[in-house]
Amino acid sequence: MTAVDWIIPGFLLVVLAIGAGKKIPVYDTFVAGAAEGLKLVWKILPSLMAVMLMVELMKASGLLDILQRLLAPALEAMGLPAEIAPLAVVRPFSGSASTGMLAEIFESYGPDSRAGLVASAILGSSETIFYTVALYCGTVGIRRTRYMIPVALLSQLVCMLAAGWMVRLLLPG
Amino acid sequence: MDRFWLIMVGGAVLFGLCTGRAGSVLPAMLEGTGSAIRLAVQLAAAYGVWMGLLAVAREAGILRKAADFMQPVIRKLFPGCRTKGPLGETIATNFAANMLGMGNAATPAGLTAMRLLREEAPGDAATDAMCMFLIINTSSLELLPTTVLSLRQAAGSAQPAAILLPTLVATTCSTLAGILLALGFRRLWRAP
Repeated sequence: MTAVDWIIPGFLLVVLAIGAGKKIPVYDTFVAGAAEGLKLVWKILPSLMAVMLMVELMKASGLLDILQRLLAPALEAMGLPAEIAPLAVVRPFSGSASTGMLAEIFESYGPDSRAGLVASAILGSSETIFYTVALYCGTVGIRRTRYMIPVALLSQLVCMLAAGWMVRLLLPG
Repeated sequence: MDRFWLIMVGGAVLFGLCTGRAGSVLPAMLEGTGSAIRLAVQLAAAYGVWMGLLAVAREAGILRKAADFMQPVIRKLFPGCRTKGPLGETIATNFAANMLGMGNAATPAGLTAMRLLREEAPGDAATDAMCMFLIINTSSLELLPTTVLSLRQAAGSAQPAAILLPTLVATTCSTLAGILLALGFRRLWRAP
C-alpha cells in the first residue's frame, strides 16, 4: 500500500461521512447520480462508435502507421512517445474521440506502458478546447474570440510536455 | 470534427483499396463499433461509481464549500468585474465543480457566468475577463481524473492510480501557463 492507494478509499469515506452528517438520503442520491452516469454513457456512445470505427479503419489500412511516422519526430523531440500521435491530434476537438483513442492505446500498448501512462496523464489534465469555446461563446453570442484559442492551444501544449516529463520523472521503467 | 472524420475515414478506405486491403474494410468497421460498445459498458460501470459518489458530494454541500474557498482567487483573476455578487459565485461554482470532476454542474454555472460577463460588455468580441474564464476552463482543473482512472482499471492496469500525481502536476502547469499567457496576450491583442 502506497499513499496513492489511500486517495480513493479516503475520498469515499469522507464523502459518505459528510453526507451522513448532513442527514441527506445517501442511497437515493447515489442512485440518482448513477442514473445520470448511465444517461451520459448513452449520450456519448454513438460518437464513440463513429470514432472507433474511424480508428479501426485507419489501423487496418495502414494510414495510422503513416500518421504516426510523420508525427513521431516532432513528438520525440518534445520527449513524448510517438504512439500518442492520434490522441494529440484529436484532443482539442472531441472528448469522446479522445476517450476512444485512450482505450485504443491501452489495447495496443497496455495501460502501464510509457505510451499508456503519458496518454493517461494527457487526457486527465486537458479539456476539449474547441467544444468548450464554441459552447460558451456561442450561447451568449460572442463571435470574435480574440486570443482565446491560441492561448488555450499553447497551454495544452504545455500540458502535454509536462505530462511527458512527469511520467519520465516519477514513473521510470 | 466533421471534416476531420470525413477525411480520415475516406482516406483510410481509399488507402486500403490502393494497398489491396478491400476485404478488411467491413471487419474493421464492425471491430470499431464493437469496441465502442465494450468501452461504453466499462464506462457505464465506472460512471455508476463516480457519478453516484459525486452526487452525494454535491448534495452534502461539498461543492458550495469549495466554491466559497475559491472566492479570493477569483477576485484576483478578474479585476474590474463585479465579482462580489452572483458573477463571483457562478465563476466559483464553475471552477469548484470542474475541480471535483462534476461536469454536469460546471457547465450550467459556466454558461450563467458567461451571460453575466456579457451584460458588462456589449459587442460580439470576447472581453479579457471572458478570455481568462475560458482559458482556465479549457486548461482543465480536474483534481481526480475519474474517466482515465476507470479506463485504466478496466484495461487491467497494475497501478491505475499511478498517473494521479503526473496528471495533477501537468494540469497545474497548463493552468498556470494559460493564466500567464492570457495576461501577456491581453496587452498585445487589444480589444477592438
